[in-house]
Amino acid sequence: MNPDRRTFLRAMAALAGANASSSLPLLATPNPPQGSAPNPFHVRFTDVTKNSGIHFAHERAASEEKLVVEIMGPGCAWLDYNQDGFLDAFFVNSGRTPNFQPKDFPQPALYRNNGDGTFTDVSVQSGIRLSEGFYIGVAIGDYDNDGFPDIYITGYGQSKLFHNNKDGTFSDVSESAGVTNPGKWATAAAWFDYDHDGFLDLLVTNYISYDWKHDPNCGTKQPGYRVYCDPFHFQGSSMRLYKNNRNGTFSDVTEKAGLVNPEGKSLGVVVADFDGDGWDDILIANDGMRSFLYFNNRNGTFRDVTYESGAGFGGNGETESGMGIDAADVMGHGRMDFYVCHMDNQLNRLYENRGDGTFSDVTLSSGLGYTNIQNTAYAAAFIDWDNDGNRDLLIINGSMLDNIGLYHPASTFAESKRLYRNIGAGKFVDSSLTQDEIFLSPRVGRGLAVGDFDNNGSQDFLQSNNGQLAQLFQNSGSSNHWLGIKLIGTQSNRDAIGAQVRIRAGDFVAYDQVRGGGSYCSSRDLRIYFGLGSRLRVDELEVRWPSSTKETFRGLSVDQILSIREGQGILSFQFPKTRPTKSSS
Amino acid sequence: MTLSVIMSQATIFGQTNESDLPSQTRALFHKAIAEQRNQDPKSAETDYKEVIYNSADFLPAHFNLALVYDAEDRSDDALIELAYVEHKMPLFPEAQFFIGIENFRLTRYKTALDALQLAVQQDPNNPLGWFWLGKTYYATSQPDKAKSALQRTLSMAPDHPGALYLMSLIEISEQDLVRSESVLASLVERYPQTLDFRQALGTVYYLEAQPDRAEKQYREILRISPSDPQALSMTGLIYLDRGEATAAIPFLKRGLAANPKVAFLQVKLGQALVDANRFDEGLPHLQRAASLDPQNPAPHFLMWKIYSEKKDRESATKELQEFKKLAASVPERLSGADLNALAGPGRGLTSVPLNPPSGSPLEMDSGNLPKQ
Repeated sequence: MNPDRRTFLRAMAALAGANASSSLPLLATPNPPQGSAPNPFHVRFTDVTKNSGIHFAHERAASEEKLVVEIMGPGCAWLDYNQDGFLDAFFVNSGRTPNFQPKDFPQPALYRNNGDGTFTDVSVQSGIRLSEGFYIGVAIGDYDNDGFPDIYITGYGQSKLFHNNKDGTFSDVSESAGVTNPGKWATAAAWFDYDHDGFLDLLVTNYISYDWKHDPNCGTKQPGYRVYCDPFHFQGSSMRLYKNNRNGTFSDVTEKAGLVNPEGKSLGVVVADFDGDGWDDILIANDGMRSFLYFNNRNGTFRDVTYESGAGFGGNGETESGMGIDAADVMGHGRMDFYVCHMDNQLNRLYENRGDGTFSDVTLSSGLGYTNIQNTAYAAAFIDWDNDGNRDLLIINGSMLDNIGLYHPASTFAESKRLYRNIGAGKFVDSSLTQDEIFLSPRVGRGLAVGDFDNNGSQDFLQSNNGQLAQLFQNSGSSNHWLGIKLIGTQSNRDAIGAQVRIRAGDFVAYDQVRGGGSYCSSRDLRIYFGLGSRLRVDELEVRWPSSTKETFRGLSVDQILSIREGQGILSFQFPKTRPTKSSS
Repeated sequence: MTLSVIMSQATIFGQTNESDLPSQTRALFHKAIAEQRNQDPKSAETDYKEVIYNSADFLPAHFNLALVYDAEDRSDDALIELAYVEHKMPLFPEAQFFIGIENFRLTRYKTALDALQLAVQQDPNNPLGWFWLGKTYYATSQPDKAKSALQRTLSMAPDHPGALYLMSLIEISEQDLVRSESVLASLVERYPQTLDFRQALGTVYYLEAQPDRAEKQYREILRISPSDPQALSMTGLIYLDRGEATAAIPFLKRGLAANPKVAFLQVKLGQALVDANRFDEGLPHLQRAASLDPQNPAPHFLMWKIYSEKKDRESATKELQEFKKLAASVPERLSGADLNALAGPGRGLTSVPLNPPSGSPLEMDSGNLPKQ
C-alpha cells in the first residue's frame, strides 16, 4: 500500500468511526502494530494426537512407478457430524492403484469428539466405506439444510458424496446426487451458494488430465531416480460447478456459468466475496500456471478477471506452482486478501485486495518474503492463533518428491511447518521457532484444517500427512479475549457460507466471511472467530447474510461462542466446553 | 606463478642439457630465470630470446618463455613456444598441461580438453592437471566430469582453494547448499580479499534465504571494491526482497550502470521503482527490458500496473494484451545465468573465472597463494 493510500484509508476509517454508533464503518480500522515480537502472548501448540486417541495413518500407495496420485493427498476436515457442539475430525485416505492392490481398501476415518479432549474412531459405525477409486481431498457442507453436515470426498476417477443421516451414519448418494465427477481427478472442492437460492452448490476443481496407466517416466533414468512428474507433462482439466436442485440432486452448470476452463490444473480453491458486492467469487490456485479469479456476475454466471485483477500472477507477472490457498482480511481494511502456497524455490505469495477489483502482490513488503523458500508449501490457513485481533498465518510443508535427497542432498521429503504472526496491517514475523521440537519436526504435510475443537476460543488445527500419521495440535491459548460466532442460515444456506461479519469493540473494527474451501483439499471450522486482544466487550456485531438481510447486535460479552440464527437472533444454545478427562483431572 | 615448474623441469629436457650450453648462454639463462622470478617479464623475455638465438634446441628456454607470455596474457605467443616443446618432446606432460591452460584462456575449450586429458594421462599425479581439466569440463557444462576431475585434485591436495571453489559452484547449481556454505565460508576466512569466494558465499546465503548474511558478504565486497557490479546488484535485490524498494533503487541503478543490457536487472529496477510509486522513472527501464528481452512478459505486467495507476487506459490495455500474449512460465528465482549477467565478464556464479589476477587462489599453483 502506498503512503497516500494508507493516509486515505486512515482518514476514511476515522470519519467512519465518528459515526460508529449508527452503523459499522465500511472500512475496518487496522489493529495497530503491537511490536514485532514473534510470540508475545506465549502461545504454544502442543501435539495432542496420541492422547486424543486419533491414530489415523494415511496410506501412500507408493510404487516404483511414481504415479502422481500417490503424492498429492490427503486432506482433512472438521465437522460436527452429530451436532453435539464439538468438532469431529475426518481424514481422507487413498485407495488402490494398478500398482498397489492391498487386500483391505484404505479407508477414510471419522473420529467423534468425546468432549473431554479425546476422540473415538467411529469410521465403521459411520458407514463411510469405500471400495474403489483413489481419494485426495474433502469438503464439508450441509447441502440439504437439514442441520447436519455432509461430506464430499474428491478423488481420481470418481468423487463421493456422503449424506449425513442424522443418526451417526452416512449414506453414499454420489450417483443419485450426480456429483461423481466421472473420469476427472478432483482435488479441492468448495461448497457455496453461488446463486443465492438458499442451498449450497458444489464447486469441484480438477487437477490434470491423467491416466495412471500411462504415467510418464520422469527424472533421471537410473534406478531409484524416477520422480513424480510435474504438471507440465499433462493437459489441464476444467473445474465443475454443480448446482443444487434442492431435491438431493445436482446439475452440472459449468458451461452455463461461464466456468469452463480446460487449462486449469487446480489444487486449491477458496470462495469468498473479493469484490465486496455480497456475492461469493471463486479463486483457484493452479499448479504451474496462473491462478484463476472469477467474479460472480450475480446472475448465475461468472467472469474471468484473472488478468485484469492481477490476482493470477506474482508481482512481476510470474506463474508458479499454486497449491493451497486461503483468504482473510489480513490488512485490517475490511476486504478479503489472499495467500497462495507454492513449491520450493518459489515464493508463497500474499496479495492485498485494493478494493477496486485489483490485487497487489505484497509478499516482500509483508515480511513473508523468502522465509519459506526452501520448502514446498501445500496448505496455508489464516488463523489468529494468539487472539490479538490480527489474522496470522500457518503453513504446512512437505516435498513433492520422496527421493528429493538424490537430487538435492540438502532437501528432505518431510519438511517443517511455519507459523507467522501478523504484527498489524499485514506485516508478519516468523514465529516458528517459538514452538517446540514436535511442532517443528518435519512431516510430509498436505492437509490443514483449523478449528476450535475444545471450544475454548483458541484456534487448534489438524494436519494430515502423506504416508504418515495425522496430527492434532492444541492451542494453549493466551490472555487475550475473543468472540466466536456460529451462523445458521434460514433464508440463506444453513451453513451461512458467504455471510459477512463485522465487529466493533471500542476503536477496533474487524471483518470476516464464512468462506468455502481454503487450505489444501481440506475443510475448516465454519465458525468465525475474532481475537479481541484486551478488549472486554464487543460494542456492535453486524451480519450480512447471503440473502442480503443485515442484522446488528450490540453490547456482547466476550470469550463465548454465539449461535445466531438468521432472522431469529442469538440462540440460547451454548457450545459446551471441553471437560477434563479423568486422567487429567 | 609457475616458477617451481620452471626450475624442476629445467634439467630433465633431453634435447640439450643445460651443461651443454656455452657458459655465457648458461649465465644468461639463469639471469632470465631470476628476472622471471622477480616479475620482470620484459627483461626475462629478452634474455630467453637471446638464449634461444644462441641455442635454438634448448627447450627449457622455450618453455620458460611460454610461461612469461602466459603471465602477460599473451596466450597465442605462449602456444607457439609450447608447440615447439611439444613437437620436440611429445611425452612431456607439462607441455600438454600448459597448452591446455593457454587454450582455455583463449576459450578454445575443445582443444584445451584434448591437451589436459593427455596431460593427466601422462602425469596422473599432478593435482593441477586434474584441476584444470575439471575447470574446463565445468566451463563446457559437464558438471559430472568436472566433479570427478576436481575430486582427483582434492584427493591429492585437499585444501586446494580453486578446486574447493569450483566444487562449491557445482554444488550450488545442484542446490547442495549446506556443504557449499561451509566450504565457501572456510575459503572466505582463509582468503578474505578474494572477492569470488565472497560472491559465491553471498549467493549461497541468498539462495538459503539468509539475506542478512548474504548482505554482509556483499557489503564487504563493496568495501574492497566499491563498484563491483554483482555486489551492487545483489545488495539491491536483497533490499527489494525485504520490501525496501526505496533502499534497493540506488544499488540496482549502480549495478545496472555496469550491465545496462541485462534485461532481468532492468525489470528488477523497474519493479523497485513501481513499488516505490515512482512510476515515471520505472517506465523507461521496463521499456528497455521489453526491448532487450521481447519474450519476457514481466515488463509488460509492470507497465500495465504503471499505466493503470496513471489512468492511461489505452496504454494499460495494450500492455495487458501483450502480457497475456507472452504470459507463460517465467523463472521465479534468479537463475545462474541471471547472476552471471550481473557479474560482468569473467565473473559469476556459473562461469569459471577467466584469466584471474596474478596471485589469485583461483589459479592452481598453491605456491602462489596469498598469505593466510
